[in-house]
Amino acid sequence: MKKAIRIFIFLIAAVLVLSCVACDKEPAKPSGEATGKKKITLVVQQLGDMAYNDDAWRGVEEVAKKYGYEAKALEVGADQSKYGSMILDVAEAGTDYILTATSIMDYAFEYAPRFPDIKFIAFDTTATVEVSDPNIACISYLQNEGSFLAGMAAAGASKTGVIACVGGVNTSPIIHDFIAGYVDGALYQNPDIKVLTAYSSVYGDAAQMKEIATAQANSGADVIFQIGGPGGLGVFQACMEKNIWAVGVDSDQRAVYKESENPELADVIMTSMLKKVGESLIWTFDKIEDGSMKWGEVVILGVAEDSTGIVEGDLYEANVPKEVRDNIEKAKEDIKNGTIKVKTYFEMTHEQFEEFIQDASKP
Amino acid sequence: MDLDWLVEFLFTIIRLSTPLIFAALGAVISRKAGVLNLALEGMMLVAALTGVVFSAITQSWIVGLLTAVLGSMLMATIISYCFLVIKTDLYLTCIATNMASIGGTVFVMFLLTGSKATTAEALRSMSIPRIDLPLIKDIPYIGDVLSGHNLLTYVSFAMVFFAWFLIYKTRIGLRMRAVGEAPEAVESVGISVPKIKYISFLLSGVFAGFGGAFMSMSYVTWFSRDMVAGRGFIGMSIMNIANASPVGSLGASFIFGGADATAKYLQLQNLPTDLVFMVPYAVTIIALTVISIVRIRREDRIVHGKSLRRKKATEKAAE
Repeated sequence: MKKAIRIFIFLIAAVLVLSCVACDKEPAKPSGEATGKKKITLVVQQLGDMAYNDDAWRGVEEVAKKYGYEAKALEVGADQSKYGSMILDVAEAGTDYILTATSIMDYAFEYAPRFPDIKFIAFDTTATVEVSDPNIACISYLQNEGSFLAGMAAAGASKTGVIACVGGVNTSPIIHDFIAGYVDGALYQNPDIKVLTAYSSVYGDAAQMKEIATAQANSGADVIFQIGGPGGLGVFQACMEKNIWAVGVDSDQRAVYKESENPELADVIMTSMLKKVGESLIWTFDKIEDGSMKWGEVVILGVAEDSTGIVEGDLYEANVPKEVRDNIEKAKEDIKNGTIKVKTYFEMTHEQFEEFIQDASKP
Repeated sequence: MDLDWLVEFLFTIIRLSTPLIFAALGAVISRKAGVLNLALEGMMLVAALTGVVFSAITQSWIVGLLTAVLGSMLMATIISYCFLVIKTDLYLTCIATNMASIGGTVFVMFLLTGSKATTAEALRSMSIPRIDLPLIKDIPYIGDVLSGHNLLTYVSFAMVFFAWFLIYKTRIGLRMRAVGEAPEAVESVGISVPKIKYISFLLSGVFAGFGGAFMSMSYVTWFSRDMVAGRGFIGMSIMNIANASPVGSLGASFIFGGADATAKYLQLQNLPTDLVFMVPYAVTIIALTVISIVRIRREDRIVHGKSLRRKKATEKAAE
């Protein structure tokens, strides 16, 4: 017993001595002040979603390199009750910019009046969000416009007259907006097209999305648009097995998988609908750096700003007929000058949206 | 045309049921020895990852499958050590293992591939082959439903028989059941209770390993974050519905697989998605209720020698 106490005391003494040595050598200094670098903190649920969060982080890293910022990503997980305190920790630890995605936005904006020196930027918000504080900016993407072009390409490439789309989850207005644009575009290209819409019940469940896509393929669909982050891989595999086309989402997914260890997945991705989250963040920080950034507003980016669109790669050229491609080019111009008004989920009730996609799935 | 649709539908049911059969058998065999394995979900997840990683390294699906099963067995051994030797609470250990597996698999995947979402970009893993059954595949329609499944689907059917044989026809099975019913009695005749518990937990790990390998090496051919998506827990409820019977579990797995497949096809028929998502769970509740009623009636018949309804009728007649 005595021996144990002696060892215990010795350990405590050792810890104290070592910690004193440590404080002598490295006086604690906030690293931001020490280096004089501005700090960006990206607050997301989880990286590795193969969708907007990863793209945002890529953009933030680019910004950090370009302007010599210090970038950090904070993954807060799925437990919403922790978001508030985690944001507070970030703000109190000292940072210059807090970037968040929609799901965390409200928790971050709560602290905007308390930390007037920190700028809050939320990306991928809805266009109708209300911004009240002068240190907040929101970036909203018109995903319906990019999806409209994807819908046109899909309808143009379809030989069976049936196309489909799979949403990752049925509770996200952003995903509904993708689908509204896709269906609208398909009907614009071919009013007789049949568009099947389905959702996965668990976000990121690749097996389930594969099963849904297989069922859609069995019902005759020959182009399937996936809007499901990591679960979308299941759609690509289903398309591979059924020998039909897939349309990727957010980034050029064909390019991603062509370079990967499984290049055959790339060969079913005819085109991808682009939503350039990373680019838009670089663009935002360009504006911040040259002083032309407007705060307290929602920035809306769509086809006109080249922030959403589609990939026009080799498979697109080879499989979408020439007249359809010309039509898509024309549609781009018409969207830019406002001749075409793409349907958006944010301007209809949910009932109207459901009616719209149901009408489209009837032969 | 309509028959083709039905063939495709039945084929889907069998495919969807396969991981559930493995999970249910894992639950059955551990339940029989009174050590219900709540960590099936985590074990399947670990098996799914090890299978992908080792099949990618060796470029052999056999090695992948074996390592998947070994990975799951290793998990079973760790949990067994905790609750048999250092006497932690079994259920808390299992819950902790599940949580650790969800984060741990992502961590290992990140270390190996640099991606937190999926191994598809960095690893080229093998898939377990599909098997065409000779003779049966030539029968019209029936052949299309039964033949051409993944090897593991047929393994799962074989495992149902194996589990049944092991539990009811062998000495070790008898001991397992005895440990589950009355461990003191087993101990009194000089058989090591912890040993029997360990064996049954390890076998549960083997089944979970096959289930995990099915998820990542045949359903899809990569590992992605949290890809088991609750199938381990569904396996446990299947075990409950089937009253821990291996053959009953096979039937109950088909009920679940069928409900799931129905939900997928109903979405194409323009039903509201929220309603469709409810179908598998509604089927569970209905199945539980129906089975419970049947079971009560049967027990009643055993006790009173007649059914409840008939008993009431005779009582009325007596009045």
